[in-house]
Amino acid sequence: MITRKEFLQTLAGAAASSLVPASALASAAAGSRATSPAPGAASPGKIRRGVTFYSYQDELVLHQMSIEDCVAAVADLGTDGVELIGEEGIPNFPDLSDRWVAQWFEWMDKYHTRPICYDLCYDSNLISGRSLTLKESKDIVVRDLKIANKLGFKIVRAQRTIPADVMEACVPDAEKYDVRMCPEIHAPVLLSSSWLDPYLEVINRTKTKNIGFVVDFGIFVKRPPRVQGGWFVRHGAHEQIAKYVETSYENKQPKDITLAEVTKMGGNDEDRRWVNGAYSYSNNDPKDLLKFSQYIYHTHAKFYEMTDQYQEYSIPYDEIIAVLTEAGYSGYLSSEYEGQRHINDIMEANAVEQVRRQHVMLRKLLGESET
Amino acid sequence: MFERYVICEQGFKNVSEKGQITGFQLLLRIANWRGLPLSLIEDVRVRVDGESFPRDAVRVAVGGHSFTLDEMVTRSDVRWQFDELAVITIRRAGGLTLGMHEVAVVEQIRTGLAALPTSQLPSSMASGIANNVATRKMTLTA
Repeated sequence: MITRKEFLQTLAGAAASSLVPASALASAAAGSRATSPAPGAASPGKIRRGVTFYSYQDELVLHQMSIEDCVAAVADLGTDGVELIGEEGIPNFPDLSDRWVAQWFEWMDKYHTRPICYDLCYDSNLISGRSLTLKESKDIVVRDLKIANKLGFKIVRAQRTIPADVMEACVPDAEKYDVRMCPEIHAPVLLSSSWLDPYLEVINRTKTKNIGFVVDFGIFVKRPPRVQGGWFVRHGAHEQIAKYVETSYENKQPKDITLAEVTKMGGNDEDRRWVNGAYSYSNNDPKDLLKFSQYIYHTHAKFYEMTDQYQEYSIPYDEIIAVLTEAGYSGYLSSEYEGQRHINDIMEANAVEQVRRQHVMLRKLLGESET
Repeated sequence: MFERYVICEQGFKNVSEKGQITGFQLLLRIANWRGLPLSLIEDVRVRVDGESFPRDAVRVAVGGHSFTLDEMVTRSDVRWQFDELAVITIRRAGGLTLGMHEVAVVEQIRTGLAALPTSQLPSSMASGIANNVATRKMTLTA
């Protein structure tokens, strides 16, 4: 029997050369490492598809897939955009060896893929009991800007805990390393809140081109993932209460009312944890992206469960893609599968298959396919 | 969450010093979606057949260096890499008997937004951590 790894390696190399659009191949061939084209440049005005290796976290940690297998899996989707989390995928992070850098670009050539977004992880709580100083924060960011630059990335995702003054202090380094730093708009952020304001203030005041945003589609969760509710039920939550929590979130009932009702219904700790889990998402109107769409440089196409009908259970992809198209967005939709953690207590999640299903949906919504 | 792969099924064995069995070892993966600096690992609790062990009986080795739990929280410069098998050594005179044991592990990680130790977080923020208990029946053969 062929293993998943062998399957990927056999198939991906072949598929990479036949399915990637000629424009992408040409641009991959033309772009030197130091001057790879800006996202979207290969196909102006078109939204493109990619994958963040966050999706393959279970497979990576168990060595069921290597980083090369992840690259191959992206090529096998008939697309080219790869997103790397340094702390997940770089051996011996943060010590980036020249050998690994060379290997990385060999993979990009072999599979006709290209580096799109590098994920910087910022632990504001690195030191117990106090916040990081500006210098400590800057050192973390600049360390990763250098790594991103060496690996050919032009966009660096920063987690939403990164303060705007740290971003501003790093602008000269971002210019030097030719990357755009993008705080991630991530649930439970509300687009109607003031969360974006400090970053927008820096952008408007300094006119920098090196700060923008990554939008994570977990801010558009209309109903919480049913796979997550299932996890809580298997761990002791009541099925009926779990359903009530899902409906309450969907109907935009405030969290404190839902919590109080759950307690009245005889809810236990797991029921209450599911309330916290469900309300960790946010249910924004995708149209609110239009207010600042010129600063959106990348997106995380977050998903939890692709159904057999190629629908995402929680997130209205049709609405989101319509809004991004209206806004003239020409960056990537980077698949970010996060359903594995809700089902891996009873089965292997198979992120490769889930991502493939999502790309069937994305191709249809992007008008890449008539079938 | 990450329970599926936290406890590695290999590497579970007794350890000796100067001919005496002084404890036992097991291999753990990090209960997170990326590697982390040791300063974010507040506790590694191990229970075997219902028996728990004092904090100072636990040592964690990553990257070839061994740390006590109290040392770990001071080391923001050392990382537990994402796919790295950390060697957990528990001091227990005589070690464990050969054969099957039920092993439970909690890795208490200071993730998320706050600089506060988890013990000082509001329960709504700390609640995810209590769930992260991995258990596995494993056979000790050496």
